[in-house]
Amino acid sequence: MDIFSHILYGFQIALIPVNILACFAGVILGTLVGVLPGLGPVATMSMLLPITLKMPPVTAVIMLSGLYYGAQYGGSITSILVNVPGEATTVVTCLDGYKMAQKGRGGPALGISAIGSFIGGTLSLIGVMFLAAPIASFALKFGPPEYFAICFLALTIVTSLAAKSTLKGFVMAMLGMLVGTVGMDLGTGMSRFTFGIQTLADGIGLIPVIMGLFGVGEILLNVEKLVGMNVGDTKIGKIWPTVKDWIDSRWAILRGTVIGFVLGLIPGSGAIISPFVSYAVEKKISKHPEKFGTGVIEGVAGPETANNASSQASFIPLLSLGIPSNVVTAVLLGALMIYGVEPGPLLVANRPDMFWGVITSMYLGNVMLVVLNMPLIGLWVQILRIPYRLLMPLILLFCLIGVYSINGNVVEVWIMALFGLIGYLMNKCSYEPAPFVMGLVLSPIVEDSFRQSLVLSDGSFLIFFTRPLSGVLMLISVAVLAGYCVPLFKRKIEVIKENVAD
Amino acid sequence: MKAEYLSSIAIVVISFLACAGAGKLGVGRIGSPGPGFFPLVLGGTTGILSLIILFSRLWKGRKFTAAQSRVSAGVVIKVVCILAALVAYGFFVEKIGYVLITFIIFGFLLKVAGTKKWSFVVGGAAVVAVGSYILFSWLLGVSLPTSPFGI
Repeated sequence: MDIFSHILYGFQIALIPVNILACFAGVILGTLVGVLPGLGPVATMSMLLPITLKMPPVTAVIMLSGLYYGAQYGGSITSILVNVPGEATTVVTCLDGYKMAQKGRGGPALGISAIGSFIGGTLSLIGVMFLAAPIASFALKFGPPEYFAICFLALTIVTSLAAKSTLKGFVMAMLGMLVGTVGMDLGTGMSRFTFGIQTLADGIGLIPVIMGLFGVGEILLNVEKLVGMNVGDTKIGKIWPTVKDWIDSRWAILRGTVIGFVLGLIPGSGAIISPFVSYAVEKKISKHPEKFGTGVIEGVAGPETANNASSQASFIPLLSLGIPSNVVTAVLLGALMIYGVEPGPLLVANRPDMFWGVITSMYLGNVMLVVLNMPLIGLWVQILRIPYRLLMPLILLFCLIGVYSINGNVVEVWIMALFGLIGYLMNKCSYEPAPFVMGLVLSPIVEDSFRQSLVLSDGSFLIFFTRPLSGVLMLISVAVLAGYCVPLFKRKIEVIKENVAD
Repeated sequence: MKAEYLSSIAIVVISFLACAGAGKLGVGRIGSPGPGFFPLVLGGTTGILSLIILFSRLWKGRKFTAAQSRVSAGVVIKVVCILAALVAYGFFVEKIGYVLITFIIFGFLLKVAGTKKWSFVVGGAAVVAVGSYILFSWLLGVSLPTSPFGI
């Protein structure tokens, strides 16, 4: 079958009524969790997993994917209206989006954000369709050293993006992988670190850990505030952007699409870097860079387009290689495994319904988001006004139902509570949970490929550098590490010199 | 700052225990790694990185005074209450059934979150307990434990 036959086949799957409904539910829920404070797409996907177990796997993944890119839309609403980013990917939108809202132009900011996201997401999907299958075919030639190198690169990028401390990000990634070794060793069948607890025989479940770190942990942090968002005085105005807005944003949207798509392909980068890069590029090439940060529409259009383009491009490493780009796609990876679907190079050949059905459903999702969200912005603003003291018990209840009903096991409820406490303490000590989860998810792939590589090379670590692809990937990882370490060492040396001089 | 020291020390201890446990599992040799090899590598690397963090904090601690982020007693009580509620939920959900435990825990959480009116707490908890049971169990087919009375 050629690519167009595949696309047609994908639409046949995506247009089945139950899949349209799942896509609709996913994007609406995604927008909702993007808007709501203290509830992100990671925790929501985990909560929904038990419900999706009753669905056909394709329908379930269509819904969860819709939730992911829907949250990118929702996150921008709080960034623009209340200067609080709903998602990490919409942080940069606050800079000009909120300023626009303060000037009474919140409507056009929301409008261009939705339209830019639609254009970026849709164009990015075309790239996904044409690139994912060839990458999957190419990946069939990968051996253990290549898989290890890709995972190493993904972990290096995720940890280097840790906002608080890269070194602490590494510690978290290592601890996550260490927790991932709990359970049966696939090579020998020996139990590791289970302490005789039967629930741990299959390893520590991903969902209780994620719900603990991102659901309960976030709630515990918000207990200190327990306040709702103040959207009282923010003016929204007309939603539809003016002709001048269009002219000012058109190139920013196209550049944001390219930046988002390219960066979304890199395992580990996810959609987090692309809005920042897009904003920096727009400011750099602008004729009036001094106006950035005062409410210019290019500062909203570029980053908002980039984050959606990136989030859809991140499905390429997930579906073609089985490597998640960020924590959200890590949860999707976990979900695929629970459904009995193995992501990776063979997915395109073995489960074309899953691959092409999910990809084409994203076109529908993007259309739904732009058609529904423009008139529904008023509703989302009302939802922002719900007091957190009412949301908090509801979120905790959904976490409890979600974790308990996956396996009907109360031990997993306690694991969630434990990781909630750990997540809270991690945040208090400036450790970030995202590298931990990436480490946990990648742990089996990293261990397996690491051990197999060493067996192949009879114990020589050079195998990771002497094979062309793994060598290039390892060198990129080393460059990323050096980019962090060299300035750090320079600063330390300067501090020591100053101390000696004193 | 104290929290930073304690967290680094805790991670060093965990790393040491992981290395010790990995040693017992059997490390093998580099060309033929055993089940303990990978945890040993991870434990060792984590321990070294945490020691670097610890010593760099000790170094900074002598030179700079960092503002400590204090948590009030009220917040600590709320955090403990929420965690206790989650643990209690696990203990009782299969013994007294979903609806009753959800009613109790949800009402408790509403109070912890600062809802003052008892009528709202009781009414809200009852609506959420019954409503969520209908939604998840009847409509979405999620398996939830029932009490001896059938719900």
